[in-house]
Order: sequence, then structure tokens, then C-alpha cells
Amino acid sequence: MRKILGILIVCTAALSLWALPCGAKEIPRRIVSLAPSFTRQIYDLKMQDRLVGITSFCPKYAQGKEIIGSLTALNFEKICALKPDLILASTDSNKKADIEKLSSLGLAVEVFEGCESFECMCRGFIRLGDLLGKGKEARSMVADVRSRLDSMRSKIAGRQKLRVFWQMGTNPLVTAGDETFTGEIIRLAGCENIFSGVRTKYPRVNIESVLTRNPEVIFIVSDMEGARVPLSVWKPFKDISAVKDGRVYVMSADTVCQPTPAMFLKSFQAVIARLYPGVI
Amino acid sequence: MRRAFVFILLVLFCAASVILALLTGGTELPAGEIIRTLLHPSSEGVTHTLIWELRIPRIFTAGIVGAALASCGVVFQAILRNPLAEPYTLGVSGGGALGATIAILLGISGLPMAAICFAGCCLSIAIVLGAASLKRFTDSTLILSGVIMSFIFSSAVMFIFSVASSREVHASILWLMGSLSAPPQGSIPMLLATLPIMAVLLLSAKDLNLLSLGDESSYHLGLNAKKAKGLLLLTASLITGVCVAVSGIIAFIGLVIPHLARRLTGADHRYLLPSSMLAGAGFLILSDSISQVLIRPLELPVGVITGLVGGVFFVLYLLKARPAEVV
Amino acid sequence: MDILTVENVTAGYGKEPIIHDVTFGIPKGGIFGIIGPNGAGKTTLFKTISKVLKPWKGVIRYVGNDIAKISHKAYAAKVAVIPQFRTAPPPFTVEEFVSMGRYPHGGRLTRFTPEDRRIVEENIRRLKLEHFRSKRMDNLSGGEMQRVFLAQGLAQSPELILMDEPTSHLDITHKIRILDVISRLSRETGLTALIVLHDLNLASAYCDFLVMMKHGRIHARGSANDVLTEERILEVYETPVRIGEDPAIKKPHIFFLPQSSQK
Repeated sequence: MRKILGILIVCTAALSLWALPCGAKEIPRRIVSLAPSFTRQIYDLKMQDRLVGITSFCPKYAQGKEIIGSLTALNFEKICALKPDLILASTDSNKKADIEKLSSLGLAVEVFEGCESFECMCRGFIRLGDLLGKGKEARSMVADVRSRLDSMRSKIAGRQKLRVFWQMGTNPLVTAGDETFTGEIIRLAGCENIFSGVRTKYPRVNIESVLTRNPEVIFIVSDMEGARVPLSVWKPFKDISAVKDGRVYVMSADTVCQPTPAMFLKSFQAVIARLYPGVI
Repeated sequence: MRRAFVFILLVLFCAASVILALLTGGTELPAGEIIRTLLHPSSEGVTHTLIWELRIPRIFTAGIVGAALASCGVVFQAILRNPLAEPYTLGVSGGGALGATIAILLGISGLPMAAICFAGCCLSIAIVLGAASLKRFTDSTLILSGVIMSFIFSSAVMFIFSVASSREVHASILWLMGSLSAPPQGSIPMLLATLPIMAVLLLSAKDLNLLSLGDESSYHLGLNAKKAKGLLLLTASLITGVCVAVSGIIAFIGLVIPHLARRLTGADHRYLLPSSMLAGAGFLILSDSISQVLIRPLELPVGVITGLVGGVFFVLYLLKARPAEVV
Repeated sequence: MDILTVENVTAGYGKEPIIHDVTFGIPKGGIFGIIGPNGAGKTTLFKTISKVLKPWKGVIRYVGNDIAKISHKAYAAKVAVIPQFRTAPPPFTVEEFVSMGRYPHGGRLTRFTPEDRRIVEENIRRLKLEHFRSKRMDNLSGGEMQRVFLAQGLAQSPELILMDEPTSHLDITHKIRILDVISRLSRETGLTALIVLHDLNLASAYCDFLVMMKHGRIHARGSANDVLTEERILEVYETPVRIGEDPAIKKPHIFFLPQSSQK
């Protein structure tokens, strides 16, 4: 056993020395994405040819890429076998232990902060663009998104401030707080999140507090896999303005749950379209 | 010499598991390449990394954890004189789960997380053994204390779940499922350190034989039951704590393997302990391979395989055994 | 010298003592019986002698030495306590179980010496267990199991064996067999046996010496002829009986008097 370990140590050292300096400045040719948001952004930057490995969690547009793991476990052998020169990980979706293991194998891992704010997403996107040698394109795409966002905001400026309840799950009843990107969408739309002021990002709330806060619009996010949360859950509560006025909307998670700048814009658009129909 | 034959079979089983685990894994590799890499340990390349840095340490971890959990299961079943006893009966898993959840909540991972997890296990052991020592370690007191501690710890874990973010909850649940794929740094030295402690268990075979006769009988045959029980439970719990810190909660091995081994080599612990270790090691290595291959490239948590295979095995064993033999 | 002496022993479990000021000596070789009604303190007395219970007052000596000062492992090498029937027999084979009788004589890591093996063999044969030495304990009948327990106790090479109602749950064949073995052993090897018995006729037939207890005290002591009289039994057991003589062994035999027979 000791002999094997000794050899292991020597080999790890050799491998790390070999893996170190190369690939620092060159544009990576073989990218492995450990979270769906990176996959999306790579497609946005039109670098998908260099993408060799994705998680099973990624949507259908990513065809022909090797699957390197699921939400429960990463297949380290597969990742190694793909010989990536860049692995994209996020503190949101990936376990620290997994990231450390990949680094210990001498692989280049870029760790991104999990983003809940639009600014963070823009920063992340630009950083990714720089890594892939598409810094200029990334910056211009971000600028474009910003300007479209501003134009949409100006169109709805001065509109009535609505009380919004954003429902992430039915059982338990979970909503989004201020420090989330949906919280930010609501704020940018000039509306009020009825659970504004609660410090947790995704608090579990009591249905009674929803009743007392009487939202005028309710958004329900359906599951990632497309299962539909029935609107009929709210039907009995006719005292809520949103229910009375028929302003309960179901949003697909694909549209509103991916933390990239382009998706942020798309989500914002979808939300505005329902809050202020006919404006955009 | 039937026993010798059984031991040879067990060693072969272990060897076969190791070979199978070397040849299969998360990716398909040609056997020729694997053999070449094994013969040339100083070579380089992807195959080399896969075999030497991924598969071999994983097999090693699985082997030791399997042997450790199985032998601790034997110890717990002997001392508690209960065929349903297993290493987690005294709440060790609950303490470990709480430690791991707290570590995840605080954003700690790697060796520090393993240390916190182990500390949680030790806390559970201390409370249970401490309380039991006041009552002369009667079997029912021990089991009851263990059950209560498990409940208390899982409530604490659920409390943390309810206030943590979904990401942390998710990570904790994954940890609880048990996994051999990314053990924390320093796991291998930790596991090596348990080997001499497992040797202590092997040397305690005589005491375990006596303890399984019951307190009074062992007393009348010259054993200081209270001291022996306390020491053995502590040792077995610590070994279990290390396993939990390294690989999470892998169920069933500590429960089922001792029963199977008892059928093969009898209840005398001089033979039961080594046979359980061999069977446990082989079984976990095999289960881990299956978990990597079954839905390749996705990987199942190893606890799913040990639970299913172990469960099916156990049902067949129960059906075949005559009622009187179920112990 | 008596192999075991009980000197003014008072003992109990909770606040009140169960046995009071009990004194007697057990001579070497022979079978010594303790009899008495339920609750008389027989088992409590037994537990003080087997070192499970500590006497509150008084001292028990083994060959002159205070047993409180003898380690229980050293005691186990001299005194064997034969357990009664248990509900969950251990999963060992008969041979493995009997071999465990040698444990008090070994160290922590003993391997069995040839001497150990010889003694185990001898006792397997003595109790006629050769045919099921490889059988597991949980496959045995009550009578067979009691023989195995006795074999294990004898494998300890004891000078004194202690048995608390070893035959209560057995059929008549096994009752006689077990006591025959002990009787023969005591005559052939000088083994001393202390047995707590419920069955007065068995006590009469097999014990060389009897002690009758009532309310935690010794009410009578002596040979069966001395102890087993109609007055004594009426006093202690509060039950009328008729005593006759067993013609085969010339010992007292107790005849019950069911109410229907009393006119």
C-alpha cells in the first residue's frame, strides 16, 4: 500500500507540474460546463463548438455533448477522459469537495460566484467572455441588454406600482426575497414584492401572510422539468386582489430561472408583459 | 476444514471485486490499456490519471470503509445482542449528519468538514456511552439512548434545513446519501489510521464471544463486562465515525454483512470478524462499481446499491433460513 | 476444611435485606442443596455466593479466602455457575460453546492448548454431546441445552459448581440425567455442587446435605432425614404432607395431600 501511495504522490506532482503553465493565456479548446447557466452562456457567445461536456440537467438545445454528471454526482472519470483545458464551476450548483477534487487532479477550474443580481450576472458573463477570447462581444452584448432594459423601464415609468407575490413552490410555499434576481426584476419593474424586507433569499412563508398582504399580481414558477403547478390552488382565496382580478400567471422556470444577462432580460420582458399588458 | 475453504473463497471474492472495479468505472477503458498502466506506474496520460488517481484510491477507500462498517456491525450485534443492531444504532450517523450539515451551512468543506463531521459523531458517542455507563450499559438502555439521540440529531438537522438555502439543503441531502466519489482530502491517511484500531477489534474476539452470551454469563466466565463493553463500543463507534466523515452514511453493510458472514463461518468471533471484513470490503467495492456503471455516465449514490442489493440478499436469506436460525 | 463457608451474611437489593444472618458451611465433595418456599431468599443467597451480589454484612469464604477479595476471573477458574434456560440461545455450535468454558483459564489472546482441547472433549463425552457437537445451540431441546450448559461449566475445571434450579423446566428424564451426572462426578472426582432446588423429592434423593430457608433465614440444616419431616414442611411451606421412605434409596419421600384426599 505504501508503495502505491508513494507512486501516487510522485505522479500527482508530475501531473500538476505538467498541467500548470499551459493554457493560461490561450483560448480553451475543450470546455466542460458543470452548470446549465454556463452552457447557456457559451451558446450565447457562440462558442459551443468548444464545449465538450455538460451536465444532464441541460436543456435540449445542447445536442451532441458528452454528459459528465447529474445534480447528485459528477463523473470524474468522464471529465478526465475528455481532457478539458477549462472547467466552469459555480458555487451555486457545485459542491466545494468536487471542485477541490478536480483541482487536485491538475485540471483548470474557473469558479464563478452564484449570481442573484443583474450586475453579478453581467460581470460573470464578461468574465466568461474574456476567458473564451470573446471579451469584446460579451461587453457589447451586455451593453445591448442594458440599453434594452433601460428602454423597457422608461416605457413603464410612472405606471401604477403593483403589489406582487412571487411563488417559487407550492409545498412548501416558497417565495423570492429582495436579494434574488426575481426580487430585482420586481424592483426594476417599479413594483413591490409583498415580502420585501424579509432577509432570507428564498423564505418559506405562511399562506396566511400572503392573504394579509393582499397581492395584486401573483406569479407562479413551474418546475424546471415543466410540470405545471395548478392555478386552482388560489381559486378558493377570492379575497386576494390578484385572484379576484384574475391576475395569477404561471411562468416557466426555463424562462425565469437561468442566471444569465440575456435570460434576465427575457424574464424581465415576460414579467412586464403580464404586469402591464400592451405596453411592450 | 470447511472454514479454510470459506476464507479462501472470501479472499477470491475480494480479489475479484478489486479486479472488476479496476476494469470498470465511470468511463469505458480497454482492459489492455488498464493493465499497461498498472504495470508502468510512472507513465503519464489520461488512463494513468484515471487508474492511479481515481480508481485505485476509490477502491482502497471502498475496501476499508466496507471492512470497517462490517466489523463494527459485528461488534454492535454482539454487544447489544440484537440481530438488528448496526454501527449507526447508537446515533453515530445522526451526530455525523449534524456535523456535516453545520459544516455545509458554514461553507466549510474538505478536511475541516470531515473533522466537524467526526466531532459530531464523537458528541453522539459521548452522550450515549456516558448516559449508559451510569446504568451499567444494559442493552436496552444503550439501544434506547441511541434511538433518542438519532431523533434529536435528525430534528436538529431538519431545523437547519428549514432555515438554510435550498443549495445548502441539497448539498446536505447529497452528503447524507453516502458517496465514495469525492472523499475529503486526507481521507486516505484517516482510513489507514483505522487499520490498527480494527486490529484491536480482531484481538477482542474472545471478549465478544463472551459478551454475546449476556452480562451474567460473561461475568461468570471471568469477563469484566462493563469495561469490555464500554471499550469495544467506543472503539467501534470511533471507527464508524471516521467512515461517516469520509463517505457519508452508507447503509446496510453494517447490518447485513455480519449475518451473511455468520452463516458462512459461524458465530465464533475469531473467525466472524475477519470474514466480515473480507465480505464487507468486497461487497462495497462491488457495489461502488455497480453504482458507477449502471446508468453511466450518471452515477448512483452507493447507498442505493447497498440498500437494494443488501435488501434483496437479506430477504432471500430470511426465506431460506429456518426460523430458529435467524440470528 | 469446608470448601465454602457463609458467615453471618445479610444481603438484599433495595432498602430491606432479603436474607438475614445466614451461616453455614459446605463440605468438600458432595451435593449441597438449598430448599425453601418462593421468596425465602434462595436466589439471593445464591447470588451472593456466585459473586453477583455483595453481602451487606458478613463474609463468604472460599477455601478460607474472602471471595470479595478474589477477582471474579480467578473465582471463575474455580467456581462454575451453570446458567438456567434462556430465551435467546447464542448462535454458537455446541462445541464452540463448551470451549468457552476454558476462557477463565486463559489470557487475552489465548489459543486453545492441547490440554484445553482435551478437557473440552472429555466434557462433551461426559454429557453425551458427541452427536451434536456441530449443532447450533438454537436447534437444541431444553434438556439438551441444559446438558450443554453443564458441559461448559465443567469445562471450567471447577472445584465447585453452582446451579440455581437447573431442572425446573425439564422433563423427568432430563431431570434425572443431569442430577445423575453431577452425582457421579462428585463421587468420582470430588467435585462439590451447590444446587437450589424446588423439587423436594429430588433434593432428598440427590443431596448429601440440605439447608432449608424461610423468610431469609436458615430454618433447618442437615441430612435429608433430619430436614425433611412433616412438621418442618408444615412450618416452612405451610402445607401438610405425608413423609414416607423411598425403598430404593432409603431417603425420605414426600407424598402430597391434595385437598380431595384430606377427609
